[in-house]
Amino acid sequence: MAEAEKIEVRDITRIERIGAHSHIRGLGLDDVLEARAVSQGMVGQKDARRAAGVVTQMVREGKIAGRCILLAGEPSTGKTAIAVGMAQALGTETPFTSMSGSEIYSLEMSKTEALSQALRKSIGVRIKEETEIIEGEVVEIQIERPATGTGQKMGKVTLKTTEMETNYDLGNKIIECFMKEKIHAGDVITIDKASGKVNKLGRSFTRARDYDATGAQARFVQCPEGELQKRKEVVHTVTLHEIDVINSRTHGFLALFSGDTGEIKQEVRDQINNKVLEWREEGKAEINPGVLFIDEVHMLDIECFSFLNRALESDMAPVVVMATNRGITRIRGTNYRSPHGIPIDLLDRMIIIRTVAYSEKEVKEILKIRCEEEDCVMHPDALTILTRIATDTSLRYAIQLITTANLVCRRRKAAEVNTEDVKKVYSLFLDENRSSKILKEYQDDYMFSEITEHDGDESVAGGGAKRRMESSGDAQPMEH
Amino acid sequence: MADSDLSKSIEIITKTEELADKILANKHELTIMDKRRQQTREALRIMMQKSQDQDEKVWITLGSMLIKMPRNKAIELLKKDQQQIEQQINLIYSEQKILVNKHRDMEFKSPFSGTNLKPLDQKEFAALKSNLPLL
Repeated sequence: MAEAEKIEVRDITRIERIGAHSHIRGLGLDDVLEARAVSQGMVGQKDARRAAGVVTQMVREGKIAGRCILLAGEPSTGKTAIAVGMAQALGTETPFTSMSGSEIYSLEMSKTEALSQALRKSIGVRIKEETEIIEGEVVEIQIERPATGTGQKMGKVTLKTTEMETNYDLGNKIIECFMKEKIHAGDVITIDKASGKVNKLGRSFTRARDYDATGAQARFVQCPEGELQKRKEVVHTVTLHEIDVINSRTHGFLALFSGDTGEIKQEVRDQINNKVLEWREEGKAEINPGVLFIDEVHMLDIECFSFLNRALESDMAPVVVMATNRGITRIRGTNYRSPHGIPIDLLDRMIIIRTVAYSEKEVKEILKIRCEEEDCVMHPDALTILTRIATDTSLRYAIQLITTANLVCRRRKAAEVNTEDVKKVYSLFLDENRSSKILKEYQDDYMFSEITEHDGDESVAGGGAKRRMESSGDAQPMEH
Repeated sequence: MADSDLSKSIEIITKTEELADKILANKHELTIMDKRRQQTREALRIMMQKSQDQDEKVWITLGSMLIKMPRNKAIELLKKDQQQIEQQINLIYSEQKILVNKHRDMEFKSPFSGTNLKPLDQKEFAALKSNLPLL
């Protein structure tokens, strides 16, 4: 008993981490899908946002599936931001899966398995649950026990809502349920008609003064309104992948919790496809194709691309949105070069949305939004300097400086970040340009500076980074 | 121009209110029907429970009249009543669905998704539910 009283009831508040794109709430479009200049965390990129808005609208209406959309543009021009915006605009109803191209390279799973899991995660199946419940406040409950202790029990319960009241005779099983749930007069309960499950919602407010002391867990609720026997319909959206996991026998439901699903057999998938199609025929399910977003799509290799080509032709395929920041480059796994590092045949099926570099004004707007997101009050002068830094180096670097400058500012117990703080963190943390400059200068002092084969000709060309750019996106640093 | 705008919006508002009224009336109707359903159920229960003598006559109200009637007949009547009530309730529920979505349409909201779906079998759903923590 003493143990039970120790249980603490604590309110759980969800703390959301501030991520790189957490300030984005949607695509920032108006009713006719025209992009507003600054809205929902989105700035600039009007054309791209409009295009994404059109796609989102079509997905929402279920008009397109099995299509590909490519977001192409230079680094930090808001490709991922647009994808996040699309996800937000689609809402919770439509499944949106986000993955990075390199995620498919895992030791435990083949590439195609990872891809098909991602594809199936992006297809929702809408199903409906219908239950008849009896919901009411217990006015009176009588249970007669036979004197011998065992044998049939008899019971009667009177339930009421604000409008009506009725008696129920109770059978043996349901009495057991009542006793298990410890139901007394004054409790508000629901009884599931099909399964006979009894659920206690809380105590009625009108009976709040029955006892002087109540336990910490006592919850008071209003007496239910309207009819006693209610019909409840709940529509759920589950993804195909979730149904897959349930039915892949070797792992069972534990896989859902551990997150490790392993490979799912093709037969299981086929069976589920058939079942879902059958449900659809009977009008019991709706298929709700969602969106799969693959970031850094140039990291996929030729096998994945041809797999995708095939997978998109299936009648249950989601819309695939890809993003890449590469120009004409080598397709991974081949010696051929292709625009965006994607084979021409796949590229042919795509709608390409281009993002363009942000103007200085837009950069300032983005930085302002980020400041708000990170609860950082910044002096206008500091913001101007930060904007300059962003245009000279990169937007990402400037955004990182916001966080650090805010910390420095808090150290000196000031309320507002001023130019000094920004200057200080600018000197403390190097951006990519300065860092590589220093590297070049002190190359000889670092260890192992002489090993690579290319080293000879690279030093002739003067500076690895620069040379790589000149030799047109051919080199992929991560290439095997 | 402004005049027609005004009349147009008044028209829309009236229509919306009319629909809303109907929905509320239906809701009230549901409560009344359920009350009758429960009462019929109680009556049936009592009749079935009391003595098993088939020929005994029982009192039953028809409208505002009290009538004595053989038990069998009474039970039959009540059962018929029950069926009718059940039908009526189903009818109201399906009407309600259409009305609510119409009302949402009037307010420029998209209809609730999946209203026209048939529910999954209890068994199938139970299987899904026991394995999916999110449902």
